[in-house]
Amino acid sequence: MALRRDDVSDEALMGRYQSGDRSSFSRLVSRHKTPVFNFILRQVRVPSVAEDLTQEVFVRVVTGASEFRHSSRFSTWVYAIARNLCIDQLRKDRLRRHPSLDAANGPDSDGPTLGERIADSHPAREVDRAAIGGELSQHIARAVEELPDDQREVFLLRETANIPFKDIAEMLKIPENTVKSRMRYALERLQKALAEYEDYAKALK
Amino acid sequence: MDCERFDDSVMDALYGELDELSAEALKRHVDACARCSSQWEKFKATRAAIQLPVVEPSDGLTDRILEAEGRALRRLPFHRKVVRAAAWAGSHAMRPQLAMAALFMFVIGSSMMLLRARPGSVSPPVTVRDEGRPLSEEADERRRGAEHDALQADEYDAPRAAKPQRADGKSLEYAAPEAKSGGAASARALAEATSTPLEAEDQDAGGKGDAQEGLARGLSLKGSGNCEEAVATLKAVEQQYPGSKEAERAKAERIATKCTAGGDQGNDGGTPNAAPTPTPQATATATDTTP
Repeated sequence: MALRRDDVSDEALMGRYQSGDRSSFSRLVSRHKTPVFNFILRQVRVPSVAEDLTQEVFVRVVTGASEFRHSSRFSTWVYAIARNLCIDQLRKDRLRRHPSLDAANGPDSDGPTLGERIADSHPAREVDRAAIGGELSQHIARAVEELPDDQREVFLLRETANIPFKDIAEMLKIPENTVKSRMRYALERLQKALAEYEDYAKALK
Repeated sequence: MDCERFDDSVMDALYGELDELSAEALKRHVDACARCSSQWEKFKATRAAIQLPVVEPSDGLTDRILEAEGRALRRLPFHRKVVRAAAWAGSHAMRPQLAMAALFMFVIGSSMMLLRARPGSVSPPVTVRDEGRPLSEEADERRRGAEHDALQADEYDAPRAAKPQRADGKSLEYAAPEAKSGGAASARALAEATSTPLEAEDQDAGGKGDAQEGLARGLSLKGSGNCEEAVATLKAVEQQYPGSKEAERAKAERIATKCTAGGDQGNDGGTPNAAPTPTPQATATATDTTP
C-alpha cells in the first residue's frame, strides 16, 4: 500500500475534499477500498458483510471529514473507524450465533458460523482466494482469522494496514509495549500453524 | 545489545521501525547469539510466509460507496453543507481554466459594448450653415472651399474688435492703414501695427508730460517771483529727466536765475565763490533769513 513518489498524499486529498473537491474522495476510495475490505474481511469473514462495512467506513469518512486534522494520518483514522465497525459486528455475530451450527468453529472462534459461511452470497470470492494462493494461503487465512481478537487486530493493523506500532497504541489506547508483545504472540501462533500445516502436508505425501 | 534488549526490539526491527544504530546493534547481537539468531530467523520466515492473499471486493462496491457519499453529503447538517458549497464554488473559482474563461467572456462582452460603428455604416455627418439648413454631400466640398475664403476675409475684424483701449480713451483706428486687404498675413501685420506704436507712445507720453509740467511750473514760479522755489523745481526737472529737452531748458533757466540775498546763485560747479561778499549788514545778520 506504499504510495508512489509522485502520488498525492492521503492527507492532501482529504484537504482537497474538505475544500469541496469530490474527485479527491473518489481517489481515496480507489486507493483504500481493497485494503480496508481485506482488513475487515479477515475479521468478519463473510465478504458481503465486509463490503457493507467497507461502504460504511467511507460514509463515516464523509460525515467526519470536516473534523479530520491534517496533522494526523489518514490511514490511522480510517482503520480506527474500520476497527470499531468490526468490533460492533463481531458483538452482533456473537449474539446471533446459532448453537446448532456452532460446532463447525473452534471454541475460541467468535466469527460467523459455518452455516453463514456456506450461505455467503459471494461464493466466487472463496474460489478466487483458493485460485490465488492455493491450499497454503487458505490455511494461512484461516489461521489469521482464528487468532484471538486482540492479537488479530494488532496483526492486521501492522501487517495489512501498515500502521506503525506507536499509532496502533494510540488507536487502541494501550501501551506500545503491549502492542508489540501482542504482535509477537500473533506471529508465534501463526508460525505454529504453519509448522503444523507443513507437517500435515509432508504426512500426506 | 543483550538478549533482553533483543526481545524488546525485535518487533521494531522486523517492521523497520528501529533506528539505524539500534538496528546495527541488534544485527551484531544476532550474529553472535544462537538463541536470538534462531528467534530472528523464525520471525522473518513467518512474516514472509503469512502474506495474506489480497481479496478483491465485488465490482459494484465503488459505485455503492460513491452513492452513499452523495446521500451522506445531503444529510449533513446545514452549516457543514454551507461550508462545502462555498468551498466547492471557491475551488472552482481558483481553477485557472475557469478564470481564463471568465476573463475571456469579460473581454468579449466589454469590447462589444465599447465597439464603435464602422465608418460608412452611419449616415454622413450633417453640415450646418448659418441658416441651419443641412446641406447635401455633393455640395459640401464646394461649399467648404468657398467658406474658407470667406472666413479668411473676415479675419480682419478680429483684431479690431479686441483692440486695446488706452486709459485716456484714444482709439487706434488711425493706426490701421492696411485693414482693407484680406488674408491672415495682413491681419498679423495689422496687429503689430496697432500694438507697437501704442506701447512706444505710452512710455514717451508719460515721461514727456511730467518733464514738461515740471519745466512749466518752474518757469511760472520764476515769473511770479518765487525765486527759490523756481530754482528748486527747475533743478528737480534736470535731475529727474536727464538728457531731455526740458532738463536742458530747466538748467539754462536756473543758471540765469539770480535770487536776491542769500539764495543760491545757481552756479553748479562754478567758481568756488560761494560766500557772498560780506557787507557790514550781512555779517551782522548772517543767520537772518531773507524776507
